[in-house]
Amino acid sequence: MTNLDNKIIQALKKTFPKSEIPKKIENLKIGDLKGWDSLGHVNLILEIEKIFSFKFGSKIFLSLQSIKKIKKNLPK
Amino acid sequence: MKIILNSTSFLLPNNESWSILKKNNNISFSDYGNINSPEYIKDTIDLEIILFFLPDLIDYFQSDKFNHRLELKKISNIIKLIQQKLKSKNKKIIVGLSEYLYNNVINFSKKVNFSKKIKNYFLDELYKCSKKYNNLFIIDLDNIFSEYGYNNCFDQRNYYVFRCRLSTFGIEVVSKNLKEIINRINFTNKKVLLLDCDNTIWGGVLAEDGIENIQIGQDGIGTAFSDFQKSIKKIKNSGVLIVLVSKNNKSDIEDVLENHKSMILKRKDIAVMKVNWNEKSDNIKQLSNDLFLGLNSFVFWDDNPIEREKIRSRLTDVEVIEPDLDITGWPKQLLEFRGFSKFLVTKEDSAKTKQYKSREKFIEAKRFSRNEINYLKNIKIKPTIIKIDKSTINRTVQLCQKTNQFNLRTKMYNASDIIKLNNKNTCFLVHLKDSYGDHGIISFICLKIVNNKFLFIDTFLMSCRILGRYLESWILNEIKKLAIKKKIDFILVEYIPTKRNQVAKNFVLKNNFKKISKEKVVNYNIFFKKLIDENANSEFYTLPKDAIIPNLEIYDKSR
Repeated sequence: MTNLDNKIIQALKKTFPKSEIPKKIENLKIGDLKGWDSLGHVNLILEIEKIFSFKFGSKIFLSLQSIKKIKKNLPK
Repeated sequence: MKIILNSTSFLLPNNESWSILKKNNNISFSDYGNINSPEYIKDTIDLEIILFFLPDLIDYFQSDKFNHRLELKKISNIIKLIQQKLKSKNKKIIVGLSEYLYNNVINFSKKVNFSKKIKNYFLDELYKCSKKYNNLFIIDLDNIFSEYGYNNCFDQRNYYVFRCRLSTFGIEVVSKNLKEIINRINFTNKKVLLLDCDNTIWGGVLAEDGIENIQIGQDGIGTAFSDFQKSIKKIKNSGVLIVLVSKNNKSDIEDVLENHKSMILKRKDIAVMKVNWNEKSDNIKQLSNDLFLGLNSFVFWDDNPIEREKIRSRLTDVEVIEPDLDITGWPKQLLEFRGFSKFLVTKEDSAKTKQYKSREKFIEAKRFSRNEINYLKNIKIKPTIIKIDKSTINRTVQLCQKTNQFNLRTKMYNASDIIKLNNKNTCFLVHLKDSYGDHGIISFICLKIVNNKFLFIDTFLMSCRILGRYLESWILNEIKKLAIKKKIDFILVEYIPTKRNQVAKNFVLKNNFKKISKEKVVNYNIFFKKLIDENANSEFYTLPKDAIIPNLEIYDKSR
């Protein structure tokens, strides 16, 4: 597991404390976890921003609906 | 506490940033943009928070076409709505307001910013309400945001993507400040500031440097110590007791307090001096007993990290301040410390040090006097009954909110409650003077006639600092006189136990009030007293089977 994955798992755990986070998160998307609805999604993206000290642009913010897309748009 | 949060902006319910506020509280959020709580929850909440962001109410992009009267009318309507909410006195309301400033230094260098005008009007109206309603608290959010940086607290992207005006950091800041107000609503403020002397209220070590060489008042660092003393004095004037806890010779410290020309703090500002070579923790424990104040009312300020650590480990309830590494930061740090802050400061607060000092003398003299009654006669106790009016209402509210020990029912009445009580019942305050000085207003009594048969003592409270003078017996006698005048045979007293009001129960028992069995009046600890034939030792009056016990539960609700 990469460091990037670890950090995202950390954000998932914090945002959805009632859900069990699987070890493989690559294919996760909105709706897959308890609480990951549209509001939960906003909270998740904001948490990821906090952990990575990075801000997503307004154009892509709402399109980041899967872990794949999020990872793609995070700074390398 | 059950809290509902309403706002004109979407504020990310469930976001981590609210966690400070969520701790120990149960919070729900109304739908976005709705400043009214949902019907099903309305009656069950303890606190309603309403946060207003002006651009959600007023179109900032059309400011040149503004009809100011119409805009102000909008605000008036909101105020009316808030007033409506305030009428439910069991519920507290915190209103937060942000102008959400678009700053343009050139545009606003000749004329006032339009949004500022509207915000000021809004705030003025809110503060007018807060005078009338004790359950309203106001936060000027812009003051808070400016402390942390406006641009850090707001987020344009968040607004356009999901209608949240604030950044997550901004929410954290709001959450933290709301928590502070809630804490003060629930817990009383700290009452004693414990200060070290050397390198704390002045620079240098008195025993080594001598009185002429300590740093206070001189340019540079001496000014910082002066300002620190000014901050201490300001806090003292708001009703906090200043105590010196220092390992030094007492006479040396007294010499500085009395004779050093640059000292801002004088001997009269210091309530108690614990200046000796004992452990500071022992001094503080003793002080807590002498002052009748719990250790959680104490704040400890000392430059020496070892002393701080000792207090932290030995007296865990005392709040130990970690002072700024540089003394120049101290005046601001002390003034910003929220522990001492309270919502209202009254005339009595500024005289607190003097009153505690006279209490100390009183206890000491009473201890050495052989005949207590004669002694009390000698000190010329002079209680006076005074009315509740505009000039005394704030003190009445303060007594209701703060008196924890000698208080039979501990009802935390606010100003509008007291006005209502005063209109319908017999209410009075007691002012006390004796040879130790003017103690101010120290007691509040409210009496209600029930079924023309009973005089029910709705409120009987006395400030703890004047206890020991048997003033309670004098007051009870006044109540009896009133009952006789109104041809009423019984006085009804209710004692509602709390953690700290045992002394009030002792008073009830000592005065031979007869207890009514619990089965007859569910949930109430009521005591009964027969007035007539008192000398014939018939105080243990048996309740006849057909006696009508006033239904206090109903009375309580309909008040």
